[in-house]
Amino acid sequence: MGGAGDMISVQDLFFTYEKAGEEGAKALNGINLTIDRGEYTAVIGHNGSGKSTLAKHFNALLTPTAGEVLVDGMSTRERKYLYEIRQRVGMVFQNPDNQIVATTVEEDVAFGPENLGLPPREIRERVAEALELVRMADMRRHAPHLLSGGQKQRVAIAGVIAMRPRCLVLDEPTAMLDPRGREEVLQTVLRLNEEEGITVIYITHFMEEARRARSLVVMDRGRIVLKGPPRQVFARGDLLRSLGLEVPPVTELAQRLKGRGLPVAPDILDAEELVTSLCS
Amino acid sequence: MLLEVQGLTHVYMRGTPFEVTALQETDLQIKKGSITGIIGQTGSGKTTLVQHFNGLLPPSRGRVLYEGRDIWEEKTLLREVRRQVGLLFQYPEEQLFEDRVYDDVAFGIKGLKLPPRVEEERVKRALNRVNLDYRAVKDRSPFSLSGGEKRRVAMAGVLVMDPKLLVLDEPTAGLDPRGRREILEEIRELHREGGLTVVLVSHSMEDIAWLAKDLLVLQDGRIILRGTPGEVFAREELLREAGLAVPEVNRVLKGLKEAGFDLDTGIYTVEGAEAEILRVVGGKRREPH
Repeated sequence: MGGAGDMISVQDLFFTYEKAGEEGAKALNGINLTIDRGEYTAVIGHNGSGKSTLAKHFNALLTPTAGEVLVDGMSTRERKYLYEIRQRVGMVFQNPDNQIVATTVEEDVAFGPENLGLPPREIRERVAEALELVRMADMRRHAPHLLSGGQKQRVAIAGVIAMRPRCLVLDEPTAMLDPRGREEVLQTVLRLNEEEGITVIYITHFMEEARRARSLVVMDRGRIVLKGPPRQVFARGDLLRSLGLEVPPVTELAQRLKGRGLPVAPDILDAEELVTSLCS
Repeated sequence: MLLEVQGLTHVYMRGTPFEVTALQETDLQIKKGSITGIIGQTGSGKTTLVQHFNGLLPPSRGRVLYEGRDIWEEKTLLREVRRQVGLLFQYPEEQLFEDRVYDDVAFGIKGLKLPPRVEEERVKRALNRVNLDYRAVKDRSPFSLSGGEKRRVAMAGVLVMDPKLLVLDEPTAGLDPRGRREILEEIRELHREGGLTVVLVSHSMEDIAWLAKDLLVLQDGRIILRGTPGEVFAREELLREAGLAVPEVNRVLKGLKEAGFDLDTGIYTVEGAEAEILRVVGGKRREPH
């Protein structure tokens, strides 16, 4: 069983997508993973490696074919826990346009709490607080479809935050955004983790974003093949490349220089570190 | 000059309360055999601009010239331009619709009523050009392919028309690292070996630095900067105002320069930075004792 500090505990998880009349392919193939409360974990892996399938198990959008997923100790298999689990674990997806339902920012964020049947005053409080947290309070009366991609995605995050989740799961939230939008979303998520203590699970194809997490999980063919702090994981450049992944550009540069005989530390994460390493 | 844009202005929903000027007085030239990157924030006018390159949008003001002729001059020319300027949209795989990869790729040349042999040859060649094995994929459903493969099928559907100018709007968006790398290498190959003129719209400064020889920077519907990647990325302040950033490897070179190394800070790719650092740091280490 998981310890008291576990937000999410995954034990021997197997999952197979059912296909009519066919033997389905195993999308998850024996996953064991513990996510501590307040942790910031990034998940990387090529398309089809099982990242999104795993993420959907965290709030019982999918339930295990075999094994167990526990959220705050509650099994996702038990229907009686479903509402409680979905309230504790909020999901944000790739395309912000698919996640917006209302005609103003404020109403959009209120959608979830309204469905909880909360009193109007509490709804107003939660909406105001959530918009403040994603730095969108000034735009609360704007029409969501006129916002930039980064702003829309922050509204989507506010909509989830208004449910007061303990854990936020983001599945490639910046894939469709421009550089400024990506930075806005990343900063928002970092702040929610650091200042509000919300547990974050962040799926991404951008290694520059993954390196900001405290812990990094690498998936391949439905398994976890590597797990550790970004510094440790990105030091395994050759393994990552063989899995169809890469390391952040500066780490790549550092590893190439090391390969050419320069005395560079193998676990460089950013430009400043590389400069220091080269000058020492 | 293959393509030229003169004083191009584009206004959406003109005469309504929702009127938006997406492009203002834009001038640019695309030389035959060049590879041009277009960067700018979402909403800066990039997509509107490239949709003018093959006459998908009519200018509100100004002209678009293809090989010196105004593409809106006559209908037959416009039709010809649409064949010669291949435009790959964002998330093009969303537009795949046939049951077989073959039919999807062949769609653009069906109207030409080519003899079956010739049509087949062209489809085969187009799939080869994006490194897909004709035999292995032609009868498969496009929907059974991976994200990167689907995107390459969509690209083959443009290449089958044998365009002279290939315009790609965010060709790597949403792909995983391997898919991204493969698409970029294919584009470079098409340019180098196939002699295609290429215009690439991208949010990734790394991709642009790696691929493009000329750069255009858009902000609020205007071109605010143009030049080689070296010239453009040297204007860090201006880029930041436009919501863009310089590739991070450049900070390593600038940091080393500040630390007293005499090196070229006008380099923006991992490969380039590697060579330059080896030249300087390696050289220093070999100095006589």
